[in-house]
Amino acid sequence: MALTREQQTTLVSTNAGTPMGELFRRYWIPALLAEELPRPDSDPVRVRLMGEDLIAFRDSEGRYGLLAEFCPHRGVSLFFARHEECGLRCSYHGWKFDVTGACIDMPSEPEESAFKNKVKTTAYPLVQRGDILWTYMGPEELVPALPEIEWSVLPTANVFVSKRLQETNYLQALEGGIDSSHVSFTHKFNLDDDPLHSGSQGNVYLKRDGRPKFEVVESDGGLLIGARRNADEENYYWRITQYTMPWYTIIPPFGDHLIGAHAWVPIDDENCWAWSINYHPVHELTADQRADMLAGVGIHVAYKPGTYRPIADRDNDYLIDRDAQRAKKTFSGVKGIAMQDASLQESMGRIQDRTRERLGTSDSAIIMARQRLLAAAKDVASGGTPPGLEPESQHVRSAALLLKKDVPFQSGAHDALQIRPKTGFVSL
Amino acid sequence: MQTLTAPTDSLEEIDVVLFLADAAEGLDRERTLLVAGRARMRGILVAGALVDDGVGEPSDALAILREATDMLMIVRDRASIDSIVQALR
Repeated sequence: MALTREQQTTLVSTNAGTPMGELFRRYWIPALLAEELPRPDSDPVRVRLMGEDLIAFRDSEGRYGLLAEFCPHRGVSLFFARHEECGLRCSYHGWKFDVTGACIDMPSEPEESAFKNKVKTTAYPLVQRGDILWTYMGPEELVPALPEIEWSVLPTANVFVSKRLQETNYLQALEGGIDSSHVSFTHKFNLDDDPLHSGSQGNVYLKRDGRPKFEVVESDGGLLIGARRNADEENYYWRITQYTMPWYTIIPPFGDHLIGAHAWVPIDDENCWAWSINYHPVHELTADQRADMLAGVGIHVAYKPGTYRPIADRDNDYLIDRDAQRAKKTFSGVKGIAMQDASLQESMGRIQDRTRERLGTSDSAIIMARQRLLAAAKDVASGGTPPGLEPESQHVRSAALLLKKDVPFQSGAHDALQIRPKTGFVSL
Repeated sequence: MQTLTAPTDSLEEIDVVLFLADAAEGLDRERTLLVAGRARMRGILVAGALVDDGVGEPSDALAILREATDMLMIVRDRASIDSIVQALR
């Protein structure tokens, strides 16, 4: 089982004009954290998404803008622009642009010239929802409803969001997110000591049965990925991951801990943003939980100061600790759930060659997700509508629960897999 | 790479055996388990694809495929089976 070269290229290429790039541009995209543009006239921020270089800014009235990074005049980066009253003024010849991309001043041309009215730079909407600024880079006439993934609409007091640079194609990261079987290995020695995973009954089942059987079911917005382990004579322990198109995953919960979720957003074909979210549908996060996540525990990381780059990275071999590996404090020698994943995924190269892989039965979710993506890209190319755009298809949760052995998990866990306002998630 | 899509004794040089079933139809349990067991012993991966209309009722086919296979993909219509078979080649 391996992809053809054509399938591989289609899946990993996300620039404008590529099948996957055109598919992804039909969705709202997490572009940057709201904290990156904290106030009106705060410093502009470089943003690169799917190979497009952009500049994000917040004007004097607090409106968000996302423009092509380079001035349409001579190609100078607007990162060096001056923030002036309700616009970015290029530092080279003074052309000034507002959040819509309109050129509103052109002091290098005669005062009576109306040439500025003919100049408009690429501009995408930038909308705050929770702690994230979202953009839409597709056709204006096809803009969908804003996302209603649960963590995106909860009060910010119930949610913690971080992002980190991952130096791989988005697909490697996404496939890690839906590959439930690695948990029994990569994270084996840390489920009990990580503050956001420890002490759950599910950990007992996870460690007892390292050979889960996988069932994957098509859902309206993506896939339901069920990993079942033997719990007792009558029941299976199910961990059910949600994959929502095009790149969202919700991790099955551990006990009463917060739910974890991800978005894997292409920066270009060789880098992606790994967005990591923890949330609780009912309770506000505690100060201790926030402190843990800020320190980089669980699915979050500690950053190099002033960046969203992890301290542990390719250049320092992810600070591998062979003594900790030998002592079974970590399975791979790398510390932290997030960097354990990132280190292994980055070790595969920037773009894994999937024409040479040998998939096994634990990879059924990966197989189906690829097919879902390829089918959706093909459908969009022929005029169809992408799956997962309707807010209803985003109203989903993951779950971890026991079910009788003869029950299809998608029906047995049906209620647990839906958002129920002011109701906690179902977890062991 | 070859994918076997029907039970048979010709299991050499096969990477995956895929059992296809419809939740509304029966499946020969003995034969399925026999072929799956032989396949597994010869280093062949054992997969199942089940067509279910989305209701998700318990069915004999589901029970047999759970018993016999190591990965199970559940789709809503037969058309999706083609892409799965394609993916397993």
